[in-house]
Amino acid sequence: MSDIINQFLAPALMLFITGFVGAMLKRNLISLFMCVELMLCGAMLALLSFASAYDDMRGGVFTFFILTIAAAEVAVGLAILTRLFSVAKSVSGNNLGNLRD
Amino acid sequence: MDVELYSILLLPLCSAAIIALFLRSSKWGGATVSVTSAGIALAMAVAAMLSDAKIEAFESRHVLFSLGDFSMNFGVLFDPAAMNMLFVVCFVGFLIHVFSVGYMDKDPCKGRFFAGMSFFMFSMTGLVLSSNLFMMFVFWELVGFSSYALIAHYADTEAARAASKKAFIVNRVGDVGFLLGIIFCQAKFGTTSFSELSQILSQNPSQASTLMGLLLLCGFLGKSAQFPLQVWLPDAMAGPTPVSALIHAATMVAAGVFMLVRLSAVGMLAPDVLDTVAILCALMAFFAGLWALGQNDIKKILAYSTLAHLGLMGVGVSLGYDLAMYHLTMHAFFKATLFLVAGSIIHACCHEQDIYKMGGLFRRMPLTSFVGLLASLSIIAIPYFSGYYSKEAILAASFGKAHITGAVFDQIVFWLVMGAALLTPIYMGRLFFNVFLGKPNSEKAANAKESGIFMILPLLVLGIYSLAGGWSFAYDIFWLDGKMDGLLPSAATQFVGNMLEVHMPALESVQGAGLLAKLALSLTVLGLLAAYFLYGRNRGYDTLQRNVPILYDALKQHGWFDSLYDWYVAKVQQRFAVLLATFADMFLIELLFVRGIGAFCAVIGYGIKGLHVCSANSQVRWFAAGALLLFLLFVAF
Amino acid sequence: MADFSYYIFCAMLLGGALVVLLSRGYVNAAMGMLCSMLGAAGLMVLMQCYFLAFVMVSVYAGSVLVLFVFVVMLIGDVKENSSIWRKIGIVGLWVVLGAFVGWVSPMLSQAAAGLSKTTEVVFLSQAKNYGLVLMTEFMLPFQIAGALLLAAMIGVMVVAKNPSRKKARRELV
Repeated sequence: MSDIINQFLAPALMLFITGFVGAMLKRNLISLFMCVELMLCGAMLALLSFASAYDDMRGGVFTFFILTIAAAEVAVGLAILTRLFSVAKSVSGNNLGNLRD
Repeated sequence: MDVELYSILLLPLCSAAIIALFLRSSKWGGATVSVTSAGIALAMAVAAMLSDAKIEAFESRHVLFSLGDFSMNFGVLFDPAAMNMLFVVCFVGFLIHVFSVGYMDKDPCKGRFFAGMSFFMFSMTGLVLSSNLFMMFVFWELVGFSSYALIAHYADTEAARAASKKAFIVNRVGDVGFLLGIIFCQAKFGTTSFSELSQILSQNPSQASTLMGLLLLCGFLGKSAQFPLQVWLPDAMAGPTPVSALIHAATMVAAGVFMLVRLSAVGMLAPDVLDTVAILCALMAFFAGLWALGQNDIKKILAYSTLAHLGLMGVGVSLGYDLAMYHLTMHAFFKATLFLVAGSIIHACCHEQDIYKMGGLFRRMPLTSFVGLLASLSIIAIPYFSGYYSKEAILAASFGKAHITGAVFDQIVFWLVMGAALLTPIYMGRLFFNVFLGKPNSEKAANAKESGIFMILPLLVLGIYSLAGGWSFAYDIFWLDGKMDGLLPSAATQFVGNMLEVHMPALESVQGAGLLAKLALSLTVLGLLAAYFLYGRNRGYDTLQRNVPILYDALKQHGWFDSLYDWYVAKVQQRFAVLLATFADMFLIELLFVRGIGAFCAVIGYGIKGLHVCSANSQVRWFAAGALLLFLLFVAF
Repeated sequence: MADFSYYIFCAMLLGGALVVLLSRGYVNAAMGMLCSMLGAAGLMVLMQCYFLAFVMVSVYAGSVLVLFVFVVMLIGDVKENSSIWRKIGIVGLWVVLGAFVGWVSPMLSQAAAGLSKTTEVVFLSQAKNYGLVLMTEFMLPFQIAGALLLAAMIGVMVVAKNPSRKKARRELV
């Protein structure tokens, strides 16, 4: 059992970590967003690995919901990014801390 | 009695206030008010003293405020010592007020002057009448302030401004010790009232502490200008002559002696303290006499003479406080007379003050000169003049003590006092021969005329007192129902008189006392002759200055005290002050602490701001960090 | 055979993720992400969650990724200039973390394996089970997710609206 779980958990964790490193280190915001999606995907895979090992439905349904939320989130986030680009003319996150000094 | 005493106190204050507020530019208004108030104060003082021949001490007290155990009282103590001093202050003060009317006739700032004089009268009577040390200290400072204001009367001369500052600051140095002594007294005995202290100390005489006495002595050293704080008195002659007469000869500088007399009568001065007083004042009496020989200004000579006689009074305190009070009273009379004579001369010679430019004034100003003669004979201690009695008493007491104890210390004090007694005729003779006798040495002296009535009248009165004032103490001349003793109210003489009745027979019975008296008299005559041959005979120049200039210049330096203090202030104190100002204040306090705290807060602010004001990427990272932290907390708990 | 496809899908997953990590522009990253999604879907198939694999491809790879590409089209591709050293550094970091994962993951699975199973066994492989569970046990989350999607749609419309039309209308009046 632990082998089965481990077989699918390891790539999921790896994907999550890749996404995390990218989110920390990427400069422009769209790439950063993509890395966040990767993290979500990794989470989903981890969840499913446990669910399939136990034959428990709740893991699957939860994955379903994660998918939904991820889609909605991407839509809103990209809309905001588009608006930001039309105002700031750049999507590089380095210059975008606009709280007044 | 209460009302009378308080009105003696407050009348001059009201007069000062009225003059200061309304009459500053009036021509004679200020003078009128001031002289009137001084006259009424004198009348009330004499009336108070004449009301009953043998007045016991009268005391009243009002509590100003109280903090726990401590209460600050305002009260008057009208005991024999106060009566004596009050009579001197009011009498001499009134006469000098009248004199100033004549002296200041051409002065443009009369209002300011008379307001200052009235304020001084208020402060001095307050000091005399105060019943406890704290009150006395308050009036002590007020008297110092009056002196400061009056010395600086000729405010456009640099000398006057500098002198008034010097007087105040040097006094203040002494007052630090004085205040510490008072606080010490309050802490130790729980009271500073003289009557209560008298009760406490009569039960247990050994309670008087030497340290307290020495601290209280500092006040005396400052106010009465003894070692090492004597530097202000000669410079204070930059003020008008009536001021010098009243404040720096008769009354204010005697306030220190009065304070010591009060404390000694109460019993607060331990024997060690009295010995300190004796040696310091004996040294001063001797050296001031020497330094007087190095001065050509008539007022400065009289100033050094005052220093010497204050020294004698100090020695008197150590030998018996009644002797000091005796000499204080006599000195007030003849020294005030001498200063008023000097003022009359200066006024007549159009403010010429060098004795070698005067001369031959006996013919031109006969009344003034006659009074000057009376006062000079008094100060030299010619028998039957007032100065004779007190000085001989001190001399005899000093001789007696040295004879009885046989200690080297007492013998040194005695010889110093003898030396002072020898020097007095020398410098007074120098002054007298060059000012009054001979031929005029300058235009101004040749044109001198006798002064007006306002100046002559007080002079004559004081001259009579410097001749006959001592008779009240030495002999019992009671008249007016026993209420007047000679020229003074018997209430005023009883303080000294009672003690003298005991003291004098003891002094006269000492082995060799008669010989001493004859020796002193012959020394006086010798001194006069020496003065005549050295300085008299109408030379027009100072013999010492011409023949032995080194000695003359050394004497003129009056002990190099001024140079020493100048060096100290410039090199030591100024550097310390600069160090404090730049390092301690500007650097440490302002920069490190005040601005440092601000900078510290600013740094924290920047740090916190950095958390929030950052790029979007940084915010992602902070978010992740926060999420991890929460996760760890969640897992751990 | 299962092993072989497992490794292929893992390689796709992680390779795509690395491309997203290291690529210079958006389009490359999007392609990498596509590859990664397909790999993920393949892994899901291997786990016998066929329905979810299908949903993954259609929603994630199909709409989310397409959205990304649309936005990239609007914005324009950018070429980040990152030095080779930075990339080597990132790869090194990745390797280290990979080792860490290789060490942690068996432990986690060991710990998880000890837990007891639920009594009811429902197979994830069958799509109808999803419908049953969603409509019965998870009804509330289902409705809430629907509301959330509605809100997201409205939100996107508000954010993306052009304000200058309102200003132009005001100036006319």
